[in-house]
Amino acid sequence: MAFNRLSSTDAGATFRRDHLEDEAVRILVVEDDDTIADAVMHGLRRSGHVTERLADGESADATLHHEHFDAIILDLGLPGVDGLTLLRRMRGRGDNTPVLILSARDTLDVRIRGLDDGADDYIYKPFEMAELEARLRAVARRAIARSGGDVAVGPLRLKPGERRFYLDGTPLELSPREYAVLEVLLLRHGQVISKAQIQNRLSDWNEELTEAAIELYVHRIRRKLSGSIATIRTVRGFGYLLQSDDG
Amino acid sequence: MAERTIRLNAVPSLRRRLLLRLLVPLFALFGISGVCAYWLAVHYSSSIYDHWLYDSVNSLALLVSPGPHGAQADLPVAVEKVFVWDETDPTLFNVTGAQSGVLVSNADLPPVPDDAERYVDGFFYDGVLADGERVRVAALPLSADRAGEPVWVKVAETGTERADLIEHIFLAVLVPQLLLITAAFFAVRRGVVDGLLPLRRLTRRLRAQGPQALQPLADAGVPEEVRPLTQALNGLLGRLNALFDTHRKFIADTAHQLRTPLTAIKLNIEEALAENDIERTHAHLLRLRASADRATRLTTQLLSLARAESGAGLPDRFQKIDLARLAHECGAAWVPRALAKQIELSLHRDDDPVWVRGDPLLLREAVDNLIDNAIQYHPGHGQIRLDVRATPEPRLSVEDDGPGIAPELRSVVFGRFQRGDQTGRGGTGLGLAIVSEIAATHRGRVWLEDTRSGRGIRAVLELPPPRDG
Repeated sequence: MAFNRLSSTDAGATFRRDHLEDEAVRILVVEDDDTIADAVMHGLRRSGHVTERLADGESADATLHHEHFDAIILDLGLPGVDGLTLLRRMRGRGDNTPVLILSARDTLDVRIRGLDDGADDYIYKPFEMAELEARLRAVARRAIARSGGDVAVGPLRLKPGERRFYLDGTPLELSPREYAVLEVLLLRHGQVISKAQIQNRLSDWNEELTEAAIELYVHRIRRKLSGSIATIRTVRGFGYLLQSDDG
Repeated sequence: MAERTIRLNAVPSLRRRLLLRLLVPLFALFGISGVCAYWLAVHYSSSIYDHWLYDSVNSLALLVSPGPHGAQADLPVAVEKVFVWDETDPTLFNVTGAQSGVLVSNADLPPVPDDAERYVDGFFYDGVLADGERVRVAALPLSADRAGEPVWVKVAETGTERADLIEHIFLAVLVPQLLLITAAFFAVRRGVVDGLLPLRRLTRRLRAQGPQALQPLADAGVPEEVRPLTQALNGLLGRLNALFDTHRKFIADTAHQLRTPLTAIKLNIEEALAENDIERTHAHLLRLRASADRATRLTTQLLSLARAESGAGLPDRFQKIDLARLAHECGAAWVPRALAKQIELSLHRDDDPVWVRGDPLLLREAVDNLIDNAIQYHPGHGQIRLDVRATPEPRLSVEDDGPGIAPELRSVVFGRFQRGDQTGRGGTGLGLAIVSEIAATHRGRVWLEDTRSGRGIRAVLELPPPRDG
């Protein structure tokens, strides 16, 4: 969470490596500051996205009543109807479009309120384009997976409709539990996933999974990924990180 | 008047309080002493008059003697004139025998009542004449042995003379009393105002202080009783001055620190604009980004420091926190950035929670800054290790295998805008100052020590355990 606050050239480099690839989506940017909005839209278009911009909450609210977007980048400090109100209205009428919040105030309050009101993620100003894209990608990826669309990270592609992973176009043979573990790692790509998070995700199986069991599944998945640039890295004391390149 | 009293009471005034406390009892005492003096004067003067009246009745009794038919009174005209004459009050008399009736008389005097006041052999009483005039009567009974038959000798006088005397006494007491009260009022008021003068002088001196420099108040001329107050005030002024100085210096430092990346930004923009070669333009843009990053980082750290400072003295936000879990959450977010520098970040902890009491937001800030600092000053390709343990005190340590910090600099780097190295590798010099501020807020400690391997440095944040153990 502190990551986005302290930006650096080094961090930017890691995010730059993969763009949204063929997950081109239609994004609404609701931001009243022209400079920031222009830069964000420019960056997103360069990654092949279709973007639209609205500068106030009222017109965004009106537009969202009859238009669909794949994701929304929402500034909290809007003139008129503010970001959180807009978000509450959307969720109130059952609009589940993924929302990434932009905030100039990096306090826990904003984060908690935003997530309570149905935001999918948040990012604080000042941020970097690469960081914004990474988060947007993660948000969009989860939304796409929820609605049954394909999600790809590097050579690894998840087809939720088939409940199957493909590596460089070849189907991967995974057990249901291995599939679930890899799904968690892929949908939260770029984040370190703790064993506890994986345990939570697999709790559907009605039986307690030990950490040793999770280590075993990860070991098996690694074997099946060997030879590809997609790897699962162990971060000691923290958990696992899915990487789609040599970084 | 009532309104005025209410308004005056709204602000407590030392002067008013002193005046009230001094003047009210003083006036009450004067009043009581006046009443006493008046009462005594009246008492003694009326007893003198009564005594004179009693002498008169005895003198008149001397003229009564036994006669052939009971008692007889021999009152020559000359004697009666002398006896009766008085400037204002004519003396009234009446001698009446039980059988002979009135022997001599110049007035009808009221009979002796049952509650008459006894005095030696006679009585005193107040009565009313037929014409309604009030009189004071002295009556002396004469026995039959003495006068031939029982005789009542009575002498009376009207109240005019006594009333005049009482009025004189009243004035004689009242006028000096009033003069005394007036004099006392002015003396007390003057005394109170004079006595409070040092306070007013002190107020003027304080009021004359500008906001720029808060001068301590000199002890000269300050009364002993007020001195503890001025000394406390001087202590406060001293602390305020120190705080102002720190803030002034901090703002100046901040401006200076911001100016460096801003200058770099300006220069690189100008260079980039003047450049035709795309490669060299790109190089300027990279430097531009580094400078913008530095300015960004600085503002973020400044906000963080402001939060750490405002968090001081707010222990009501404190709650029981698992330091191990906090280290996990904070650390996980730093992993990608550490990996980007080929640094392996690892966490070492037992499975049990490590409970501390604190503000979750501030502690997160402290842990983030320790990790950020370790990554920031690490040259790359190495390890950073987080350790959380519950004994002897709950503590979190961040150990790196970077260049380390010379022992003599280890206490210096906790100051603001102080860096362990002078390479200025993007660090703001605020990170450890923030951690130190937060540690102090939590009554904890933070320090730097050698690592076991001798390479790099270990930062240790120690926090007190929650009160309930």
